[in-house]
Amino acid sequence: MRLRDLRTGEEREAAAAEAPPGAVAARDGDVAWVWFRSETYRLSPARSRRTARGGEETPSLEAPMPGRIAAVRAAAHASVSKGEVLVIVEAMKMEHAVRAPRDGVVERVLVSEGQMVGLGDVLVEMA
Amino acid sequence: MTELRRLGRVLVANRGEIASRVIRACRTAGLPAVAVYSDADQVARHVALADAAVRIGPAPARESYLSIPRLLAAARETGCGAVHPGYGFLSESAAFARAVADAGMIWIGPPPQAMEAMGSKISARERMRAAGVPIVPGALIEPSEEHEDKEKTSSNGEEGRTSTAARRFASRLPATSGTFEENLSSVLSLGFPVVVKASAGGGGKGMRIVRDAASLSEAIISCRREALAAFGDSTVYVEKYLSSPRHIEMQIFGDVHGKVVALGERECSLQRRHQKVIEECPSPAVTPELRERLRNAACEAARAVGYVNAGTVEFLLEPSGAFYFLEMNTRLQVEHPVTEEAFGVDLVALQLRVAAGEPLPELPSEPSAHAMEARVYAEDPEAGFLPQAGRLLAWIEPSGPGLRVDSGVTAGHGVDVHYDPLLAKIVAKGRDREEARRRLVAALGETVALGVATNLSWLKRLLEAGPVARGELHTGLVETLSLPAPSPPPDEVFQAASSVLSRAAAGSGGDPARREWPSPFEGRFRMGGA
Repeated sequence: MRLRDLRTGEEREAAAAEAPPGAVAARDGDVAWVWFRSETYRLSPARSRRTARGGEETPSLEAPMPGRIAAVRAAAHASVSKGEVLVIVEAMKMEHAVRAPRDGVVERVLVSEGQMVGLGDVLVEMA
Repeated sequence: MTELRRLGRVLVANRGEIASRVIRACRTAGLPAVAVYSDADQVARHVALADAAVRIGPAPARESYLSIPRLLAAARETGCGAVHPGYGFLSESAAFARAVADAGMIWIGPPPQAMEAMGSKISARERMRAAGVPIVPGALIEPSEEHEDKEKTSSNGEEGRTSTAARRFASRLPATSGTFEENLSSVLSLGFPVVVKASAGGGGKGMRIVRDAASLSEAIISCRREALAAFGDSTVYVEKYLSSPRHIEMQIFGDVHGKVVALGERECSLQRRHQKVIEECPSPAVTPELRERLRNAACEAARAVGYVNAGTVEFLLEPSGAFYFLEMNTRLQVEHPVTEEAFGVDLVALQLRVAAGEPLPELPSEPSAHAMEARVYAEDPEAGFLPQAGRLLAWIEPSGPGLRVDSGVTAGHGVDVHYDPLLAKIVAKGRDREEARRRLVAALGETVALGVATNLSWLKRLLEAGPVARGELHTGLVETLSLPAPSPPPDEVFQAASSVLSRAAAGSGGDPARREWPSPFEGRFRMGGA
């Protein structure tokens, strides 16, 4: 299995072996959490960034943190330019703007104002 | 002991680690403790520790931990005789303190008038000045129609000559601007930089650092505009900007018999975006002579407002040894354990005794150890310190000589987006600062938190940074340090991850991307749709 360390981006091929003595490991979905020698790591299967649609990357914009949707600025089929704010997620008195990664057209908006979202939930898909 | 019984059952109007901390103190004192909880906290630690628990509403704090009627109803329902507010939430609400007293219960905290006097930065500053407590030299610039007009002229018409404009602006200020005798010309005489801030604001909103007289006028005008838009009050405030001060705060205590004492200082200079991350007691910069001066100033501050119970007077300390009053927190502080560990006292137990009318006992005058606290937050330092939520798959707390952990979580519990992301406070004590620091670094490494990203590793790297290890601290230090990046995992970690991922995938059926654990957000999706 090819795995990616989520903190540093380091990728490596790894065979499943018994956890080393002293390690504490747990799984949450496709993320493995490992505590080993005073450090905590998060790893998940490394994915190809290409999509079924053939080459071109289709950015799906995900929630950077769990929270509440404070505002939805994007509308389906609207043209947006790079850096434009699409959605604002709010948690613990902090707001975080999710911006368009490039010029393009919004394909779908999957959330509405006031909704609660989890970390990594897809908020907006761009064509 | 007989006095203490006057409190009866104590309602702990809080959650998380501080609720557990207060419940323990009540039980030690022989007083039954009643916990309150929102729908998000049914299985929380503080609920399990208490003698009784009352549901006070849904997860959002506004409808639960911040609801005075619901808290009072819970107290009445369970026959409580006293209320402890913890920190945060309603702990600094004079209205809550009054409501508790009006309901015939004892408020375990300061008198509401003292809370109000210290609640407004401006009025607190004025009272401190009157009491002879040093304050950062500065001036209040109050709103006035006439000023608004003239300011516009000066900024539009006299670009390049704003230094003169600023001076004339200063001379237009009333000689005694209401609560402040100092005016802008006295600020100009202080020299630059100065900081311009909104009087009604908090959290740095509208704040501007001005480095020369030429930009002062413009900075005041724009700060005023922002203050008006944000807070509906265009009063601004200009004060001397201290470039690398230390944050030093003094723990004080007053009793109803008129005694006020100051224990020791805490240094909380290690902050990130005004959020304290590491605190210690004593401060490596405070000599016994300086401690005595800080104590006197803090006691003066407390006496000036008739303070009773636990409080903290915050100061900024300049390298020269000059210090200035910053604000007073009229409650127990998050970082109170470092004082407890260094001085060998139990501040919450003292709060209960003072609230019951007992006189303050003799307290130690000097620290007998060095204590350091690290705040473990559910936040991701590698992703801009964004707050995290989720379910803790594993949680193992450190232990050993000189260690204390005040935590509000256990394995299997959800970390909720509705509340502060503080998971635990890890406190290490040593014979000296270096021993405390080393114990803390080891303890942070020993802590296992899986399922939710935390700042554990970042805290360790911060504590190992040269200036931090040497105690050369100031409030801007964390922002200027470049800490080493986290290291990539060793092979064994890749193998362990591969093993745990393939094992679980085999058992969980067709969709390996599905969460194996119930998502803590599912309940809230329903809420959002309702």
